[in-house]
Amino acid sequence: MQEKDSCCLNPIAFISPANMNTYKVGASATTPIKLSVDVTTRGFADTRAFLTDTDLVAIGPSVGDSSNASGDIAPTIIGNAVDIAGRYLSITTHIRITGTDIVARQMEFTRIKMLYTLDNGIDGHKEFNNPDTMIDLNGDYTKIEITKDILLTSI
Amino acid sequence: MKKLLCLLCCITMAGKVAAQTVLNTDKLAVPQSAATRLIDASQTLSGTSGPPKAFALGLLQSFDNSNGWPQNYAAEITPYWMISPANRNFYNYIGLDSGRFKTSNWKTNPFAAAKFVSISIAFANKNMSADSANGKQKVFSIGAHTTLLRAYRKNYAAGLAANLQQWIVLDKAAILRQYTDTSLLYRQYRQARLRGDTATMRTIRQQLDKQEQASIQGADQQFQHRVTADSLAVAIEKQLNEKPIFQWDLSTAYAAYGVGDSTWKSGRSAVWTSVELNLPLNSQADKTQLNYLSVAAYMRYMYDAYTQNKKEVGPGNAIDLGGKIMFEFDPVSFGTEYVHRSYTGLTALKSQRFVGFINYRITKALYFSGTFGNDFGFNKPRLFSALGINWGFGNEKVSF
Repeated sequence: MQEKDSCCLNPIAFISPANMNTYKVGASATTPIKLSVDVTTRGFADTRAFLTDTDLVAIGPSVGDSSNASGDIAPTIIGNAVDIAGRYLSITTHIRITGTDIVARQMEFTRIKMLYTLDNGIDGHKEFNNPDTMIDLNGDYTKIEITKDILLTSI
Repeated sequence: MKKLLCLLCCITMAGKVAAQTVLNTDKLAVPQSAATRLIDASQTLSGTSGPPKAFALGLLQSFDNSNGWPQNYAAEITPYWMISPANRNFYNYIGLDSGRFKTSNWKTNPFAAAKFVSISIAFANKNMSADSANGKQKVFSIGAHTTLLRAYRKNYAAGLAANLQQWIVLDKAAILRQYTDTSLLYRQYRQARLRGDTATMRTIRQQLDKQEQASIQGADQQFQHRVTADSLAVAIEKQLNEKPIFQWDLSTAYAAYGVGDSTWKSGRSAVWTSVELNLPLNSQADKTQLNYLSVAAYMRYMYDAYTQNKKEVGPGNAIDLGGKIMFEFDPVSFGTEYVHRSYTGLTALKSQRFVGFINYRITKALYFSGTFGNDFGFNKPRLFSALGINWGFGNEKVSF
């Protein structure tokens, strides 16, 4: 995760992510790839997962959704390997940390844990526990955004 | 009078400091812990409290001190905030449960607040003997506190669950926009995300939030009063701050007294309990600010090594019985408390504490509180008067 100074907004230009995590799904037309997301926090949370192009634009409806305020996505099929190879699996989690004590909120912010699990591909069972970005949007540990992007490859 | 002026100057200075956010005031709070209540240094002895802070400091000024600077200090920690259970989530944190069969019949777990056990310590200069002598001792006290049981008003759990579900729906729409909206800001946001540029991502998200806020507050009636994920999050936070209708607390503490410059001896140990009824005075729970009438009952068993027995000082056991009535009209809360203390086996030893108290929230983070009345004392009651300068963070009131 990086923290940089806020600067001017550049014109749109695709920048290839040098160190994006990858997952080998294979090229099978009959192998369903599974995703699950486990959010550990005392805040209330919401998570969505999309398959996107290289500009992070969704290529269809969401492929995974949390169903309650835990923010967890239960194991769910995101598509057959051949259909999703070459796409980005892009996951966004929003968390609201409650309570009037900023010290307790800060402690909770530092203790948030994310676990992204992919299954059934060539890589088999693979866990990712480091989000790409984790942003305290309001600067008071109340509104948190966490993102994870994974490149799905055929080989 | 000089002390009062000194204190008012301190309050003024503290307000300026807090306004300039030079002082990290969010770590300071009110000394209403078990440790201060054992040694009768709190403004009131009875009553319950909400989930305690991760870490809090407090100070209390008594007017009968010869020294103008505050003599009483307290600190409190809540270990719950330091540990991180692997299975924690929002539901088990607040005690919201849909039952074994995961129906939509939401309930609150009455024991959910028991995990907020707080540990407190206090240092004070106070006259702790039961007789009418005026001498003071250095006092160190350590205590623990928890809420055993709490119950919320009817439909509280259902309302909270409904708001959570609505927030989820609105938040999913907000996330969808991040992946589909083709406007410049969203495209720049996605670009920054690919770079891992969190500073730019934050800046753009704040701009997007401002745009949404402006559309709600703008002239176009189509968007006015529109519920957003942000406004629902505020509503949920308000629900979480609502007081339970009924609460049962348990505390225990131990105190040692300084004798001379270097010797410390056991003074008091006690266990006590409070039950409190909080009756909302607003007709509707969704009002901007909830006002309460709170009625509390209190009972304490205490071993006191320095009880006055006829003409000698010796150990004794005491039972406290008392209660409190309080009104809360934010930013003001006020009330009165009466506690009767009787020493078992020594019928001649009885004393009362009868105080009135008022608390005023000067700013969001700064409180002024006063307590005046009669403190415990043998044969004749002592005058008890104290003013407190208290810092806190957020919208919480001082809980007596």
